[in-house]
Amino acid sequence: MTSSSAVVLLPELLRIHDQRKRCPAQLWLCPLDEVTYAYQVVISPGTSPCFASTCTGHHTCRQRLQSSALLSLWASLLCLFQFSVSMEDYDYLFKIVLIGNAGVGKTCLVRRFTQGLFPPGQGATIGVDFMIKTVDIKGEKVKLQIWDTAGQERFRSITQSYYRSANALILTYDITCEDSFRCLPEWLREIEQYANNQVVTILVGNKIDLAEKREVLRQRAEDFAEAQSMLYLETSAKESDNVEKLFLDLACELIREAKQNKLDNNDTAPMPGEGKTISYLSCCSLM
Amino acid sequence: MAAEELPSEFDVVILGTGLPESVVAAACSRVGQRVLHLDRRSYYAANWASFTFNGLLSWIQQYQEEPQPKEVQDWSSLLDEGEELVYLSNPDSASISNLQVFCFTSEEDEEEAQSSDLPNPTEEKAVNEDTDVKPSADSNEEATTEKQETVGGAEEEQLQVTPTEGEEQDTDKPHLSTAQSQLEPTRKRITYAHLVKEGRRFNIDLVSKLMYSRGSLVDLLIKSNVSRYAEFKNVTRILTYRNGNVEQVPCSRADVFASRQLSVVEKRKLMRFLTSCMEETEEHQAYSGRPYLEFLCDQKLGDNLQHFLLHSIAMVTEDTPIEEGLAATRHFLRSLGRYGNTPFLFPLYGLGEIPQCFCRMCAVFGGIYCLRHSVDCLVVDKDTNRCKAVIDNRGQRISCSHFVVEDSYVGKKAAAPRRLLSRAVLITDGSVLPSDSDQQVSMVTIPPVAARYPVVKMVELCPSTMTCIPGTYLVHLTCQSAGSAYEDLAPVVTRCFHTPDSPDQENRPSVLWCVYFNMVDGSGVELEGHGLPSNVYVCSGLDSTLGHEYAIRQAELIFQKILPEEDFCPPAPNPEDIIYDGENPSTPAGEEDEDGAGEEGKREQSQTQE
Ligand SMILES: Cc1cc2nc3c(=O)[nH]c(=O)nc-3n(C[C@H](O)[C@H](O)[C@H](O)COP(=O)(O)OP(=O)(O)OC[C@H]3O[C@@H](n4cnc5c(N)ncnc54)[C@H](O)[C@@H]3O)c2cc1C
Ligand SMILES: Nc1nc2c(ncn2[C@@H]2O[C@H](COP(=O)(O)OP(=O)(O)O)[C@@H](O)[C@H]2O)c(=O)[nH]1
Ligand SMILES: [Mg+2]
Repeated sequence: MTSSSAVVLLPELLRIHDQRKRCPAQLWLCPLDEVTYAYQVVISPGTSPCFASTCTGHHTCRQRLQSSALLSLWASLLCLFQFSVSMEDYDYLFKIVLIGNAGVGKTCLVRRFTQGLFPPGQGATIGVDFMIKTVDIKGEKVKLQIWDTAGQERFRSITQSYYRSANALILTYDITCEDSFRCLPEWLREIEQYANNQVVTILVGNKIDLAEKREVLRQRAEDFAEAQSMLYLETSAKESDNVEKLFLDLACELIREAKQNKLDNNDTAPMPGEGKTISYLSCCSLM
Repeated sequence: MAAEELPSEFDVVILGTGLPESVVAAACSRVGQRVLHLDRRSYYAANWASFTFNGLLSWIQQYQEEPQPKEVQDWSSLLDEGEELVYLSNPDSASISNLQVFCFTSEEDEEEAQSSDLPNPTEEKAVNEDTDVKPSADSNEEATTEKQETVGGAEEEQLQVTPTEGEEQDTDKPHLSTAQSQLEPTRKRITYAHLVKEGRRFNIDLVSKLMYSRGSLVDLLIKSNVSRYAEFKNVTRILTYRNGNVEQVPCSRADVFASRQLSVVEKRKLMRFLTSCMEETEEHQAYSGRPYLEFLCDQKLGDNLQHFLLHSIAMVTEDTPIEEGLAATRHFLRSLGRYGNTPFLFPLYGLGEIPQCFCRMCAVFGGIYCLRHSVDCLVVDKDTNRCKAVIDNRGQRISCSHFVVEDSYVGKKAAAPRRLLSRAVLITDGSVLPSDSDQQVSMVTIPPVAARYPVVKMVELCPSTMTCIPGTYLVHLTCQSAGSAYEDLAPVVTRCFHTPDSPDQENRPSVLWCVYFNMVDGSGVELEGHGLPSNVYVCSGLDSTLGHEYAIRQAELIFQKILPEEDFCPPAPNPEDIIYDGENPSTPAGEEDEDGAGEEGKREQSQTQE
C-alpha cells in the first residue's frame, strides 16, 4: 500500500458505492474532525475532492471535506500511518462464524486453517477475537475473518450479536459424539432467529481421524444437511483433512452469491452493515 | 450439555447482564480476573434487552401472568464454620408495571387469510401460537375503538378492527380496495399477522436511549475496541413538537444557515449564542442558581430560538438551573459533528446489542457465561462481613472475591419509594415528519402537552436501523412518570399520530400496534449499603436521561472499587495486528508444548505494535 492514503468519498458517491454489498461486515466510521485533516494534507490543490485509491479494498471512509478545518500535521501523520498499517489489498472480505457444541473442534479448525497447527489440549485462545486469512480464489483476493464462539457455547449462552452480519456460518458437530449431532436442530433455530437471511450455512462433521469411534453415519448427516439445504463436509482438524477445502469452498460460494446479488441488484433485503463501525482511527487522539 | 458443572472458583461473580454489569464484566476480565457472568433469564441484557416482536409478546405475557412465588431452598448444609447465608430476594417482577397493549391494525389481510398455504409449516404454527398469546386491550379501550366504525373511509375501516373482534371484518372488500388504491396505490396496510410473521426482524428496546458521539459510552467503546462488535447509524435529525406541529430543529451550522424557519436575524443570534455558551462567562455566573429559562429569556432570542435551545438542545425543563442547562447545551454541542449532523448515534439491531458486545469482550478474555442460571444466596464470613462465595440455584458453592448484582435481586431492601419511568413503544406506518428520505432516524423532543404533563422524549427509528420491517417505523417514548405510562404518554400519542382516539388526524402516521409500561428508575439506588457485605456491589443503571453517562460512570466506580490499581478497559489488541508464533518458522517446536506461553507472547507483541 503506497499511494492509497487519500480516499475521500462524498456521501453522494457512497450511495452508489455498490461494493458495500460485498462486505457488509466492516464499514468504518471516522470522526469528522480528527480525520478530515489528514486528507487535506494529501489532496493536492486542484484535484477533485474525490479520489479512487489504487487499493482495491472496498472499505469506505465516508468523509466530507471540512474546508474550514485547521490542518493538523500531527493528526495527519498518525492517520496516514494507521492507514498504511491497516489497508490491505483484497477484493472481498467475508465474516465467517463458527457454531456448534463445545468440544467438537471449532477452535482447532480455525487454528489449523489460519495458523497451520493443531493445538494440544483445549484450543481456547484468550484475547483473540477472530482470525484472519487471505486466500486467492481464481485470481481474486478474498480475506476471511473467522470468528470463534469465545466459549459462550459451553452453557448455551451465545450473544445474538455474534450472529449479526455474518456472511457464512460453519455449524460443526463431532462425528464421534451423537449428542453433538442431536443438538443441531437447536443450533438451526438459533440461526433462524438471529442470523441474516442470506447467510450461507455449511454443516461440518469433524474428527474423521477417529473413524473407529464414529457414532454418526455419513449418510445420516448428508440427509440432514440436504433437508436443511446446507452444504456438508467431513473434516479432521488434527490430520488437516478437508480443512483447507472447507474454507475455500465457502469462499467460492460466498463470491458466487456476492456476484449473484450484484446481478440481481436486490435491494429488498436490507443488508447488515449499513451501519458503520466506530473507527479504530478515532483512537488517534488517544495515542 | 446444560448439565455441565460450572467451575467453582472465580475472582468476580456477576449476576445480571444489563449494561453496567456487562461493562464491569468486560473490564475485570480484560485485566485478567476470572469472571463468572450469570443471568436468570434466557436472554442477555435484562431490562436493557431488545426483543423481536414475538419475543416482546412473550415478555409481555410473562409480566401479565401472576408470578409464582419461588420456594426458598435451605442451603445451610453448604456452610462452614463462621459463615452465614444471606438470601437474595426473588427477582422482583415489580420492576415492570402497568403494562397495556393495543392493536389498531386488522388481524389478517383478506388475501393472506385465503391463501393459507404458507410454505413453511413450522412458521405457520408459530404464527398461530403467537396469535393466541396476544394480549388484548382492556375493555374500555375496545369501546373507544368500536366507536370509530361509522367514520368511514378506507383507512378507518381497517383501523377500528382490534384483534379480538376480527370476525366482523370487511364485507364490502371490493369497494374498499378501490378506495384504497385511489388514495395510495403503493401502500398496503400492514396487518397484525404480518407483524407476527416478520416478527424476527424487529428489535424492540425496553429502554430508549441514544449515544452521545462524545459521551462516555462512545468513548469507552472506542477506547476498549468493543466497538468492533457493533455497527451504528447516525441519528439524522432533531425534531420538536410545537404548536401542534412537528418541526425540524436546526442544530449544526449548516442546518442553521439552511433553515427556512429562522429569519436572518435569528440565525445570527443563534450562532452567537451557541458560540458564547461554550465558555463560562461572567454573565453566566451572574445567573448562578437561577433557571436556565430566565437566562434565555433575557437574551431576547425570541420564542423560536428559546424553544429550540431549552427543549431540543439542552433538553431540560423550565425550572432547570442555569449550570445544568449550560452543561447540557455544551454536551450536545461537543457531540455535534463528530460523526454527523446530530450529536447522536444509534446501534444497528437496537440498544440491547451494547451490553452483549461487552459480554463478548469479557468472554474473549476468558469470562464464563451462563444464562438461565441464578444465585440463591451469598456465603458471608461473620467476622469480616465479606462475601466468600455464592450458592447458585442448583446448590453449587462458587467461591469469589467480589460479587456484583443487578438491583432487582436486592430490590426489596431499598426502603425509599422508587421513581418510575413511563415508556411507550409504537409500531407506526409512517414518519412523524415525512421527508425526501424515508430512512431518517429522528430524535423528537416534546415539551409538556399541557400543564402538569411531563417532558417526553421520542425516538423514531426507520427500518435501516434493523429494528423494524420495511413500511414501518418503531417509535419509543420515554418520560419520568407522573401517572401510569398510559396516562403520561397517551396524550402525546394521540396528538402526534392517527389512532382511534384521534380519528381526525388522517394526515399523521397511523399506530398499528403499541405497548405502554412503567419501569423502575434506578438512578437513586446506592452502589453499596443495602446491609450487604462490603465486597458486594449493586448495579442499578437504568435512569431517565437520554445518554448512557449514568450507567457507564456506575460501572467505572464499581470497577475501581474492585480493582483500584487497574486500568479500566484498556484497548484489546486488534486481531489483525496479532502476529502468531505459528507463522514464524523459527519456532516450530515451541508452539506444541508451551501453548499458554505462546498466547502471552502474542498479546505482548500486539501491544508493543500499537
Ligand atoms: C483492520 C482495518 C481497520 C481499518 N480501520 C479504518 C478506520 O478506522 N477508518 C477508516 O476510514 N478506514 C479504515 N480502514 C481502511 C478502510 O477500510 C478503507 O480501506 C479505506 O477507507 C479506503 O477506502 P476504500 O477501500 O473504500 O477504497 P476503494 O474501495 O479503493 O475506493 C474506491 C471505491 O470508491 C468508488 N469510487 C472511487 N472514486 C470514485 C468516483 N470518482 N466516482 C464514483 N465512485 C468512486 C469505487 O467504485 C470504489 O468502490 C481499515 C482497514 C482495515 C483493514
Ligand atoms: N482426534 C481429533 N481431535 C480433535 C479434532 N479437532 C479437535 N479435537 C480435539 O477436541 C477437543 C476440543 O477441541 P476445540 O477446538 O477446543 O473444540 P471447541 O470447543 O469446539 O472449540 C480438543 O481436545 C481437541 O484436541 C480432530 O479433528 N480430531
Ligand atoms: Mg473453542
